[in-house]
Amino acid sequence: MKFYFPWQKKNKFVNLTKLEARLDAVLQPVKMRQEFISELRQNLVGKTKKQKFSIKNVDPKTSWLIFGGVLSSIMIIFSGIRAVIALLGAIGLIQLNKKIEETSTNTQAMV
Amino acid sequence: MVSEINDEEALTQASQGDREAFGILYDRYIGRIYNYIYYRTGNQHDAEDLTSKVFSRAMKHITKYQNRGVPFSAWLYRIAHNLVANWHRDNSRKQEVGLDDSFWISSDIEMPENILVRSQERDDLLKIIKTLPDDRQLLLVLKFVDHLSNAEIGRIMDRTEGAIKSLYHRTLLALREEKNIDLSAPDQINGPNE
Repeated sequence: MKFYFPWQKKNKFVNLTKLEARLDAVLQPVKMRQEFISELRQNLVGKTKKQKFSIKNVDPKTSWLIFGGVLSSIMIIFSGIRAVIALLGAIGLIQLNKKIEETSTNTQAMV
Repeated sequence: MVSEINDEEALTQASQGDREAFGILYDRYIGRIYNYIYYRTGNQHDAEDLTSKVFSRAMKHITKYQNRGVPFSAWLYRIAHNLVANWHRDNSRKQEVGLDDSFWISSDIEMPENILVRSQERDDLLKIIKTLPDDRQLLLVLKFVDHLSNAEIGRIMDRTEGAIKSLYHRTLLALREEKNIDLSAPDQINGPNE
C-alpha cells in the first residue's frame, strides 16, 4: 500500500474516478442468445413463455416501422387492384370506360 | 398479472412445485447469472453451460429452499460461484477473457488498428480483474454490470453496506496499485453490445 501525502490525495481521487470509468466501459452486460434462453426455459419450465403483443410494449421506432409497413402494404394492394382492373379493361373483359366515353360523346354532341 | 408477483411469492409457489412460478424467477435472474458466469469464465459456451447447470440445480433443490431473509439471487449466485469454482479447478487451461468478438462490436466505424488497441486494453483489464479474489470479482460484476447499489450488493453477499463500500474501495486501490493498471490509456473502451 502506497503512502499518499495530503497534496497527492486529489490526484489519487482523480485516478480512481478514471479507473471506475474504465471498469464501467469494460464491464457491460453481454448479449445472450435468444435460442439459449428459450431452450433452457423450455427444459426447466416445460413451455416457452407466451409473449403477449401489446401496443404499449412497442417502442416508437418500431411503431413507425409497423405504420410504414401497413401503409405501403395498403398502397401495394390498391395499386395491384387498379392494375388488374386496367388489364381486364384493356383485354375487354370489363367495360369500365364505355359509359364515361358515351356520356362524354353525348355532351359533345349536345354542345 | 402473474409476472408482477414478488420474489418471495414466486419462491413460495415454486417451492410447492409450481413450474410457472419458477419460470418467473428464471426470467428475472437469467441475465444476471449469465453475466456473472460470463465474466468469470470468459466465453459464451461455458457461460451457457454453467448457467443452465445453475438453474437446473436451483430447480432441483428449490423444494428444500428455506427463506432465511437472504434474497433468492444470493442463493443463485452462490450456486453459480460453486460451479465456477469447480470449472476453474477442472480447467487448468488459461482462457482469454472476452474474446467472443460477436459480443464486442464497436458501435462506431473505426480504424481497425484503433479497435485492436482498444480490444487489447479491454482484454488486459479483464485479465487483471480475473486475478482478483472471487468476492471482489462478484462485487465488480454486481456494481458495473448489474448496476446494483451497495445495499443490494450487501444483501446478496451477506455483508453490511459499509463493508461493501470498503471492499469496493480496497478493490479499486488494489487494481490501481497492486495490479499497476496504466491509467494514461484512453478512457473510452468499447464494451459489448447490449
